[in-house]
Amino acid sequence: MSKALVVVKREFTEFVGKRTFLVATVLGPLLMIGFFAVQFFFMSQGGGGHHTLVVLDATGRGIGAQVVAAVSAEQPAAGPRRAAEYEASVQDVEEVRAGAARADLRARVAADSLDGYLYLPAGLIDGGAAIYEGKNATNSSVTSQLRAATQQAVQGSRLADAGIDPARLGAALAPVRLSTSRIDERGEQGSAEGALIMGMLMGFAIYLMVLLYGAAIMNGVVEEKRDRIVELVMSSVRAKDLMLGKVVGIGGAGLLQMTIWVTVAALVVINGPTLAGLFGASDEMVQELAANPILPTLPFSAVLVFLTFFAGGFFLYATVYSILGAIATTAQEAQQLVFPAVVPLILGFFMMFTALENPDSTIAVVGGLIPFTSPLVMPVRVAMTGVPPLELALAIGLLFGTAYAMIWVGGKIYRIGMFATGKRASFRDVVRWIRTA
Amino acid sequence: MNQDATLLAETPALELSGVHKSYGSFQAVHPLELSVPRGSTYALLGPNGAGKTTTIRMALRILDPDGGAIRILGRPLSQEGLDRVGYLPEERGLYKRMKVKTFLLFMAELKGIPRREAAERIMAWLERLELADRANGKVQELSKGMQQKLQFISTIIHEPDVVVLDEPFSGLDPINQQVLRDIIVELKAAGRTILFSTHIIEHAERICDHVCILARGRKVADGTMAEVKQTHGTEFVALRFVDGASHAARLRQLPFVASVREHGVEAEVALADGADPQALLEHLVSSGVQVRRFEVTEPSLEQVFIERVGAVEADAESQEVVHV
Repeated sequence: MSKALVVVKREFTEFVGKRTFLVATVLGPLLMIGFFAVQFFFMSQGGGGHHTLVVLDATGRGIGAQVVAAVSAEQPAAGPRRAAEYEASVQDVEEVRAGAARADLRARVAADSLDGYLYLPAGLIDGGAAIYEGKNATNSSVTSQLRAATQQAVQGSRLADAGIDPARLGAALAPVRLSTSRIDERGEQGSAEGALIMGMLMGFAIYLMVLLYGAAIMNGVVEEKRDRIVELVMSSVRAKDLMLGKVVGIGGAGLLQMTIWVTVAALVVINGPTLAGLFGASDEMVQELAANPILPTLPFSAVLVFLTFFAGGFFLYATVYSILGAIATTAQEAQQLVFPAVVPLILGFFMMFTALENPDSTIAVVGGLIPFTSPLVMPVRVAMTGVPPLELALAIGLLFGTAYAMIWVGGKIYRIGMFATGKRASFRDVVRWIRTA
Repeated sequence: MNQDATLLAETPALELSGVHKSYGSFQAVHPLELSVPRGSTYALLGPNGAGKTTTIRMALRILDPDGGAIRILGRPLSQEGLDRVGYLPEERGLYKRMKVKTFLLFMAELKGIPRREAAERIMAWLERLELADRANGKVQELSKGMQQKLQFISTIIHEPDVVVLDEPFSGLDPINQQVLRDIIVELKAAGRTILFSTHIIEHAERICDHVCILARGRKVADGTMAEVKQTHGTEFVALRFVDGASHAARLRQLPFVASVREHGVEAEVALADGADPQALLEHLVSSGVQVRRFEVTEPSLEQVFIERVGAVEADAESQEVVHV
């Protein structure tokens, strides 16, 4: 068996054998389902309530009565929210007496016999502002319902003034639906939405993987130095193979955990409507969820590209972490070096958005080739436009080539850094190590 | 055995030619020639900072030399060669969170030993060193002494042809010192080559048949133990008097006595170059001193060490003074 493989086996089994791995693997999906449940629970607890209010109408056009009719009718449930109940009455008033009437209503609000009142001034139809004053004026579900009801009544009056039938206007203004899909040379289809979701997923997945397992790799390297094991091991295996084994071993364990999580997540999403029903979503909500699946369908080739770049991106950043571990003398010190190391990942995010707008822009093309950003940019481009196979191959080659080169450099740094305990190596030291090792 | 193999078997177990290493402006090892014969127990002796560990690390490819050639078992330094070497570093290290047996399996597999064979050997060793009941416990749960035993096992589990021990006795309790001594004797009997680095002269003298003395990165003596001692031209006489006095002051005045070391009731007399021990005996008899012990001894390794290393150190210090 190759030495690197022996190291891979050790790192993998040690990582998977840890209690924390088991706990995280089981708890991860539980947390995911828990979030799903909690989200629906909280949403269902929002809204609702009983509101007593008076509509003070100075328009003389019966707007107030329409508003009261609209809010008094049973409110449709918004998502899993419970509908609010209104107890509203109209009070017509002449504009000149409005001041006294409002003062009276304010006193009733203060005395708690009323939650609030809506004042509709005479100039409302010509562009004047309606005024709502009440204890619940900061309740956005109340104010938005009142605004919607008032707007509908006012617009109806305006259309009637202009001699237009509101129903016919509504029909004329019905929105046009534009469904976008890409057709490339091979006739495959992909959508911008799919690309966006894939790109975002990729970014977060790599970031999460690097955050979770990069740190484990880094700490493993630091520990090997601290526990003085590295000298013993390096008399049997080359530093490069040791690094490779560590990155592939722990990375493999990470991929296993991620696969378990993704499988559970996929099951949750596929059975989302059923689960939502279980957690108290209304029937309409369940039907809506079922009609609009969260995950868009992607062509198989795009999924393959996604997985390739995901693995490449993760391993590239994992090697960066292993190098940080080789440079640092303590885990805390290594932690301080982490942020600069993930900056290129953030840059990749920005480039990805550029690629979403125009997949053939210079930034998108260049970003799709640079190894540190290509895992985010290239899959988006592939989903949105026809990337020449040669360019795709070049990007993949650069990505994996760089990851391997990083392991080689990391090995050199590891080999020299292991005896340089005590003080952290300066950047200059590290350059010298790479040159002389 | 074909001719090529026979030839290889006669080559030194470890051979360094012109190997040198410096750290920045500090020359840790000056171009060094070293030839460790097969089956020998070879001491690499020198004070701290003499370059022993650097030499060993270069021989095991842990450090790259600045120049020179290294051969292990007759072939240029390679992974195959290194797989036949067992190494016990001065800075002991174990994977603390691994299980004892798993750790040893890993070390054996790294050296290319098949898993099943390794497992059998591991259990045999664990039983022999009374660690069998800890086989499935974690390394960090072992006492320090047990961890040391574990370290020995990991060094020799692949039955190496060459065993490199860097300051192996430092930090060992008396029981483990004995355990290690037994292992060394056994390895020696089995024809293994042992390279043993130490700064303790007594260890080198008792255990080894060859010695190379290093000082300030240079070799100051090299050869079989007897050869190295013989290069020391002086003859020594161990003396003990009936009256229990050392008579040192009186002995020092004699023309054929170079120096006298007092050890309480005994004295050790170094004779001047070319002087005959007989002359000393005659003088003692004629002056009426009653002698209980009179023994012409070969110089101890300590005496060679002090003379050779002392000279290099004094030389280096005088150079430093000149620099100031």
